[in-house]
Amino acid sequence: MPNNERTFQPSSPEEAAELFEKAVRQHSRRLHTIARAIVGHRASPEDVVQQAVLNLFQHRHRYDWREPGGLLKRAVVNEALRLLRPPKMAMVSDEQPDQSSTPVEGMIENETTRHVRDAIAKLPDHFRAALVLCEYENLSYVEIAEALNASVPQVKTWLHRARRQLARMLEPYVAPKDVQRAEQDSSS
Amino acid sequence: MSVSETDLELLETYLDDQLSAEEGDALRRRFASEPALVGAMDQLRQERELRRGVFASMEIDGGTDQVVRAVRAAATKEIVRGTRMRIWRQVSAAAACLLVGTFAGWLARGPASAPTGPSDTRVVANDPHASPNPNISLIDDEPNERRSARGGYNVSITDDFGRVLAVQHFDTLNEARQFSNDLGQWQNKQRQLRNSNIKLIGDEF
Repeated sequence: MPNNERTFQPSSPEEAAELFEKAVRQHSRRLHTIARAIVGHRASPEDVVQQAVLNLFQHRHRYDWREPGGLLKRAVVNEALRLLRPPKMAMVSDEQPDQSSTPVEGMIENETTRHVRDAIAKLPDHFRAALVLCEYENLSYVEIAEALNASVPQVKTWLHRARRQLARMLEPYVAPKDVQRAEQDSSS
Repeated sequence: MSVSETDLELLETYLDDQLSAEEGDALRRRFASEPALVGAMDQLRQERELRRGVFASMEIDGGTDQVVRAVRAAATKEIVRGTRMRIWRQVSAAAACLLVGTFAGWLARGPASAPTGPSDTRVVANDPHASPNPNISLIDDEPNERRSARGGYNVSITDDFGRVLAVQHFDTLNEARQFSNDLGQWQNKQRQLRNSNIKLIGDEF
């Protein structure tokens, strides 16, 4: 992809390494959080991010590097979802502690947060990925659709179903507001 | 008033800030007359904040240096590979030029596929009366009846593979020998000229 007014390409491996290093340092925290939110306990978020960045580095000629942050995030999402695809990965037992948790995190995490985190981990992979990109990254439906290689209606469906599933799973733990659903009215 | 799934989805899209301006205005007008809708939105906001807190708790600062090191190593590997390929291409090009030049020189100096003249021939049959040049010989193994039928003598010129290139007939032995000697002298002179790399301005032949 040649350099012109509409695209940008690093011209040498050295320039590419500088560009990547700057982008990784700028977005590292969010990249690792996205990875962690999607893969949960099933993989190391550091490994996910590293592999995603390396894949992107090797195929950097295919992309426009005017917005490296967006490319990195999409790469991390794709890599995380790829890792979760069958064949099954080595599952880490729920009994084992979070691989990336620190003692301080463990102390301040309350029970509700733990329940919410566990519930999020139980969502289907694409539901979870869509939720992370929407509520943590604040991406638009169009951007989420591009990142997940899906359509906008599909993304809306995933988000809605993810939130409904979480609401049902967390009902015992989260005090509900006075919300009446159509199905409750019909059953009474 | 109940909140339908459709309204719940609408509220979620509103909280995602993905409604158009008109859709947002229409929804906000409904808030004034539908308190259940307001209650549902508060509930959705609460659930949303809970999830945001969980995502924030997942933030980790580590791993940056690891990724940066990996990228630098990949870049270094690429630079080294590029340099090696460049050197290999240069060496290959030089070797190819050498090979082509050697082959061209061999073609220019080596034995031709077609005979270029008497200097490229070999003797088929030796004749003590023939010129000392091995490329030219009197055919003396011709059956007598053929010689007696035609009369005279034949001088043959052959190539390296023994193939007869030309045969010249003479009525007398002296004429055949003279021809053979003249041809042999010419051939020797050609060979000398080639070996000594001297060019003739004039040629007595």
